[in-house]
Amino acid sequence: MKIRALIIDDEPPARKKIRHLLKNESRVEIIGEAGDGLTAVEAIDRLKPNLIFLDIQMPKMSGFEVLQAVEKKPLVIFTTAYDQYALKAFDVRALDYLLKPFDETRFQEALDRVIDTRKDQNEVHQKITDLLEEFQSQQTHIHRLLLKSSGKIFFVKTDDIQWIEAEEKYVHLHTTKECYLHRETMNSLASKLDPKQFIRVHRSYIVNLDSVKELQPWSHGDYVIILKDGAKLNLGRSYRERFMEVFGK
Amino acid sequence: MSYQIKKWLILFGICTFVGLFSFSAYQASFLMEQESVPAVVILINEFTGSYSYFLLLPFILFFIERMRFSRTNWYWMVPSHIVFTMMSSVTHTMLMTVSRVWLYNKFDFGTYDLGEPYYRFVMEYHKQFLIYCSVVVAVYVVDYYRKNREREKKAAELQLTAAQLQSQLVQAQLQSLKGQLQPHFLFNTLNMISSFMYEDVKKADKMMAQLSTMLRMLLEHSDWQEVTLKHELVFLNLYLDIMRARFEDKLKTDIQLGAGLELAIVPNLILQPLVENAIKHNDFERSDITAVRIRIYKENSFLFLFVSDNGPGFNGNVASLLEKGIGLSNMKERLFRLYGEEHQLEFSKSQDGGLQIMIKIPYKTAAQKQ
Repeated sequence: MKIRALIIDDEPPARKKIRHLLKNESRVEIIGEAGDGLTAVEAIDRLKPNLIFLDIQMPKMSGFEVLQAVEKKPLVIFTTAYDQYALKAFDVRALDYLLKPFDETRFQEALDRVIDTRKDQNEVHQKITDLLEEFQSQQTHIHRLLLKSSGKIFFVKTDDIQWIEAEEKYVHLHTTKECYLHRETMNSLASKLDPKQFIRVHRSYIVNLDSVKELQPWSHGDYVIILKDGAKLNLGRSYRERFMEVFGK
Repeated sequence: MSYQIKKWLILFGICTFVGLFSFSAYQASFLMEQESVPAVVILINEFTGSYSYFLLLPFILFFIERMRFSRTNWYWMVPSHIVFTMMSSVTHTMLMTVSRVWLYNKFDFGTYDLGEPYYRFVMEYHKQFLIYCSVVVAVYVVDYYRKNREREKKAAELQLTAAQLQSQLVQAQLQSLKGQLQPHFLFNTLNMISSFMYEDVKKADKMMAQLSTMLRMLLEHSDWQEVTLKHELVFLNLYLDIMRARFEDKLKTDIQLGAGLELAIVPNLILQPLVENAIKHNDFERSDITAVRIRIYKENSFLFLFVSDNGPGFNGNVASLLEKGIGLSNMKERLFRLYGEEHQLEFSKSQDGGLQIMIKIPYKTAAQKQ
């Protein structure tokens, strides 16, 4: 069976070049192209390619973010013009990449090698998981979240999120207009958000400080947080001190 | 040793020297007159004189420092100083007399004879006046010398700052040069050219020539501070041609140039970095297309350059904007260096909701410059 490949690059000539180099390659079938990260995530989830050619610097989302967002991670040949940080990360893990501009020989070499690794896919996947973990740890707080809802993929700005409610392995993101269900644990999400803006007020709640309207005393020294959209959230006892400290400012 | 201790040790030395000096003068004078006065008595007389003066010196110096002569205050400064010399002279004579009486007594030279007190004071005043005058002169001379030395030190420091500024300038130039030759831009452009070679050799050839012209302009004119607008636009268009080839229909540009402005003088490499920023910082959230508009016109004696985009826009925080790209803060410094307070660099929301950068500089043309 042929390897089904997807080409992801924000520059059309760069995609064309890869297409051209694959013209006489009988092992590989090109199933599509994507010109930005968001389209790429959607295309990977939908088409489930075996192999992607992935440019690292792209608008909307970087290549790494694309890999993070997709459910089933395909084999990857990274392409980049210049990114010392990424190259170092690839070298450490013996992951193959193409430096632009590359010639036919170099391209063939990378392709042969990646096809070869299909035998031990687990090892390759482990390497990529490692890589993404390192990338995640390098990142500062996120400013938007990639959501998938009934086949649609879109961003939600963290600024628009008023409060977050946990429900087992999912979270409900309450924005001014809508409520989104997002598959991520509360702890994982909390670690990515800017702690100056988002604060945990309860085992199951995180609030955006900008959307807090007032704090009302309740019985027995408990408090209720009233948000601008009218929602009322209990302030958990163990979170009270920290909240007062931040909110008082 | 602190300056104060040193100063008083030197003054004490001078007083001792004056005492010894006048001792030898009187000794010689008595020998000349063939009078027999014991040397110890002369020594006591002269040293009580000079050391009494030493005791009064702090007050005298304080007075001289405070009551400075100047062209406008001499008419009351001179009388004040004369009154002061009278007072200090009387005090000095009294101090001297008391110490002589005590020492004569102690060493059994009999009682000290002051003579007729009134004439004594008058006589001492004459001596005191001359001494006072020389102290005033000495204070002013030392003062002048010290100020001069400070000025020299300051001049040397200024020279150092100038040298540092020069090196900063060179560094900024290097940095901006490096900024232009962004490896990312260069390698992606080369990749595009290599892609064209498979299907459109002529286009590849054209792009290669354009990239070369761009690089040549950068290398040859990197030390020019200012260029004509025509030159600047040639460079910008080369850059835009390459970017449009790379991104095809994702990049839209519009350049509006006021009539007859080709020879206007602008800072070298002022437009291209701004356009590059606009392209780079578009996060495509609002539109899949980057639209950059450049508007240049003259009003009164100023040249206005506007670069606006349809990117994420401007949240009013200039500081974070300047932080974002090293280019912008560098540009601000450059504009200030070139035009001082006469320039303006402003950020606002553009028509399309993106960022608009306005640069206002004094209008001059290539002809005027020569």
